[in-house]
Amino acid sequence: MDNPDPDVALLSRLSRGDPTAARLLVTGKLPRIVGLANRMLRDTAEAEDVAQEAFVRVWRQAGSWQPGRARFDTWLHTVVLNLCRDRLRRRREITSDAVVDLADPAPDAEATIVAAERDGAVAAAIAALPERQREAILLVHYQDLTGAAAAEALGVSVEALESLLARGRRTLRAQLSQKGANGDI
Amino acid sequence: MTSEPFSLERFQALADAYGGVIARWPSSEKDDALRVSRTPEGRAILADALALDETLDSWLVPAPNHALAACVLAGAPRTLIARSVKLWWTAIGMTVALSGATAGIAATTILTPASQADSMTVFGDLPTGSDRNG
Repeated sequence: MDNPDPDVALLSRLSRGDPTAARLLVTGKLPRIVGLANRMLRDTAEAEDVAQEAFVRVWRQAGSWQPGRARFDTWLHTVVLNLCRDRLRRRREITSDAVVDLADPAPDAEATIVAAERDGAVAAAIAALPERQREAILLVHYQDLTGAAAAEALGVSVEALESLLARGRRTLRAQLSQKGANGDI
Repeated sequence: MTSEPFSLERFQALADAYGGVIARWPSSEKDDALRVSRTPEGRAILADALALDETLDSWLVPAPNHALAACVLAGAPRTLIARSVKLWWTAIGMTVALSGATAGIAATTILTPASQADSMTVFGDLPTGSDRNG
């Protein structure tokens, strides 16, 4: 960790029972959490449920947060990723009896088409990426996490993260330029 | 990350991974990256990456509403806030008690001549013989 965790001071105030700290934490983190959950799940109601579940864990951890192990923001992103993965896994179990490829799953074609109609070409193209590539791009491009933080949240090395990002972006470039050429976007 | 000299290939790899905004690149490589970004090759690589960044930025999601924020805040640790409120009330209580005691001592000192102290009750100064019937 190169720099001190900027959230530690707020967590310290929260542990001392400062209600203003709780409000500041919600103001600062809720939009990021909802943004990530929305892009992971593409369902606003579910994203809000995830945000509430994530904050239950935040409140549970805040009083006893130990600085120095992981950055709070990175830990929070890991929590949100896991909550979203659980929901995506349940969706797949409900919508398909087929064995899910856990190593590199992608949404089924029908879901991708529906998503494309609903949210646009970029969202659909990202949804169609393999899970790890999609998560890497969401964390770095949309959540603005550093490479080191995103790698930690995904449990991979920085080199592996860069590979995931590069492969994901290459696929997106090809798909989106093709759609652009077809006049779809 | 590496002790090798920073190359155009590495610059391309970083742009491929992190996009065209050098601020998002690993801090240890930013200085070298900025130097390469001033070259024609570097500019071309960044422009290419930025074009994809801009396309990705077109995907917007709704911001959380106030109701959700209020709901989340309502779940904030009651024990911590309750402890804060309890300490607050305790502090007020102690202040009031100390103020009362101080005021009482001061009033007693000011209003009660030592010579009359023995004939006073909490209800006031009793006249001489008032403890006798009739």
